[in-house]
Amino acid sequence: MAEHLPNDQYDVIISSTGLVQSLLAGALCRVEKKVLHLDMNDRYGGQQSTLNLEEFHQFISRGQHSTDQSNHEKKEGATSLTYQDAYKILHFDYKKKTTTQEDTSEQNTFRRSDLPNDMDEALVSQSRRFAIDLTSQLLFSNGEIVQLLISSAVGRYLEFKCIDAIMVYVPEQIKKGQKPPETLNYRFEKVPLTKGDIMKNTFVSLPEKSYLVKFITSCMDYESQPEFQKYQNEPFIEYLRAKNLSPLLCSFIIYAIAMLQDEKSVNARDGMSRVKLFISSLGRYGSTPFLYPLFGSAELNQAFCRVAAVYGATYVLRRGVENVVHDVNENVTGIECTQGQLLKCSSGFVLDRDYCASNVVVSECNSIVRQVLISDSALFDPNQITGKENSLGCAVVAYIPPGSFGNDQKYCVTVMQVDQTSSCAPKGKFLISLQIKRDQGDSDEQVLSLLKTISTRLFESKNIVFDDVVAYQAVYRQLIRSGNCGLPAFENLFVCDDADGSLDYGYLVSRAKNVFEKLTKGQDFEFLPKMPNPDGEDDQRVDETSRLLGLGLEEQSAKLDQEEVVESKDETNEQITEEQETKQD
Amino acid sequence: MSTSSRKKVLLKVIILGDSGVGKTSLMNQYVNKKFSNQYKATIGADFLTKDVMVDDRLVTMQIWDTAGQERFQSLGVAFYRGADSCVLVYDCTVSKTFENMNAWRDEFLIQAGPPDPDNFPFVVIGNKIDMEPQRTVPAKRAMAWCQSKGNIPYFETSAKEAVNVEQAFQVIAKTALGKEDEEPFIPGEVDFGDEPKEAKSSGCC
Repeated sequence: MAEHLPNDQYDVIISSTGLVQSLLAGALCRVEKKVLHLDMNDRYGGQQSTLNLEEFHQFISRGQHSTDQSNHEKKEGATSLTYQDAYKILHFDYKKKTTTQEDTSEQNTFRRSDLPNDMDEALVSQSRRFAIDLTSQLLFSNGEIVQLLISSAVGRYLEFKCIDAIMVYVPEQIKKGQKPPETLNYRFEKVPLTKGDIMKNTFVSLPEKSYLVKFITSCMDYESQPEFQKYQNEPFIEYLRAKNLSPLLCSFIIYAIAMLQDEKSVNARDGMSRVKLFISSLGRYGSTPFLYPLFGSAELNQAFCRVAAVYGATYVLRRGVENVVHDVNENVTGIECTQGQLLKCSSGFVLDRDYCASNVVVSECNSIVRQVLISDSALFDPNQITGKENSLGCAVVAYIPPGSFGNDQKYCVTVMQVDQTSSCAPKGKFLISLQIKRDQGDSDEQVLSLLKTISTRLFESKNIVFDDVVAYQAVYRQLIRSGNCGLPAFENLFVCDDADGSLDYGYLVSRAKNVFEKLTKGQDFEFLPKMPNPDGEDDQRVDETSRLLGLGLEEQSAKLDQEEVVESKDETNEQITEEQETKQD
Repeated sequence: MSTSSRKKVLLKVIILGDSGVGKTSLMNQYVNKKFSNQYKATIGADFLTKDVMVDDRLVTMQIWDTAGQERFQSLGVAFYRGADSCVLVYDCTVSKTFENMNAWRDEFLIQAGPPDPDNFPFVVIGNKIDMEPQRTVPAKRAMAWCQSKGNIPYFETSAKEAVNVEQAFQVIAKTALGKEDEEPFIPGEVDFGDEPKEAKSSGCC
């Protein structure tokens, strides 16, 4: 196992294959930097990992890594790293095998035995068909990451599903003159986002409709409006109220469109810039602004790592980092990896937050608590969501505003449901996740019980008993560590902060670009430029590739049937760029 | 875009085997009719495509290179996804590369998880037969292995001298085509080759 790695005088050594690191590896290799990319796990993804059920169960049932493993010897000129796991498992539970299912599983030779023996056979046999994200992430159709995927051609490795609907959990509307009931009934309502949807909607009242249309239309140039000038430093909610938006519309805008955790913490300026980002991604690919990669979010990491590999990066999984070696000028000169080998790098070293535990006090960290459910029954019925009979499935993101489940619910709960249409679950199974921000002082137990209550009641409201349909559930807490990482300030050591818990990729992309600029200082390199037009030798390859790139696979076959050929890469790319420009107009 | 019933004529073929057995050279010889004697651990090879006729059907083969990620057993699951055929390559002058065939086959079956692993279309290639005097893996031994794994088609090739390469890939295309339509195929709605939809659904701005 302890295979020695070639010591090739790397420019950059990157540890962990989280999205920031994967983007960085791809970008650095494209400008001919020599990159060694390590990951301590046997899979790609880091904090954006996507696991099948077996891997997920291993992750959930392994217990916790000890936070202190710093028993390796101290060396002169080296700083040893202390590993800290970002995750703490709070609860897990699974459906047991019935007696009639005894051991039919032995036939399949390629079934690994890491799932418990008493687990329901339907789960075990389909384990590999699940793609469970450790963190929920979505791509804004017009976001930076999509632009990068298109311009760099990395997108050709990937396929996406449009999120079909965005829902918000709202109280029933009380008609004028009606006596309000003692307890309000809540339910999920679809957020109408297009003019057509808004008009068709039966839940939103007529005056609300016109306010909503006005709000959405005006938000592309909100900055120039006098009302905004007046309110920009006030809480976002005050601004919305000043615009005469009803509580229902405010909920839609604050939670589903600006995607905020609560209504207090953001001012109108920040709130509106988030609204603008959302609205500018509408109408590009589907009825919501979001895309989700088939087979889960770690596909993105793997796509960027593949580009890095194609351009020469060396990839080594199952290898972590123990020591950072530095010279007298406090410059990192190399690293010592888990098998003791010293590896040199000249420009810099990129490290994951997991390795910098020395000064992290868990109780002082914000975190996310996440519940993952595998269910036989959907929370959001695919037929209803897609408006089709016999729908194969759907992908939904939904928000439960703070307070909907009592005062204990301080933040918005984000719910995601995916299934076979996102290649994330076998037919008939639904993958549902709920996540909520947890404050420094909150107790894990409290948040755990809140999430359990919410998910149980959501099923109840559909007349479904949670235990009847949920075949697997797990709840875990993930730290959001940032700021001072406790390591000496080496100029060429870069520590990637934990993902900030937001759904979109903006933060991660900006982090990657930031480190890229520092690592290539003064060299004026573009971040993930277009694939080069290689001279002569590879002409055919590029032509072929660009045909696939330009047309998409199904289109491709259609074209082939008609025996048409698309000419050149440039033309195809221009087409894409033109499309984009028209969109922006 | 969502005609899942139409026969898919694009086949994904992946080439596996130890570093240095000639995976990239085989691809290059087959698609570009070129061979370079200078070994460089794969740089710049991504995937190559080639149109071939199989039983009167035009098929586009998309042949994926490992991009060097096999070197430390670090191929990600995405690489294996949706493969219609898997080519296992060894170097007939290096026994170790033949012995690792079991591991590569298992790795493929675990990672790709085909519904019927026993009948998944593999093809085995023993490369570098132009170096016959240095051969350490007898054809007999390789053929016995192929037979024991459910009669996998076996070829001995020279990517350098273009021996048997065409024939091997013809069989690869044929076996891959035979495998299609086994499982329902749900295509993604968006890949970035698509032209974005008309803005008709964006009525609000």
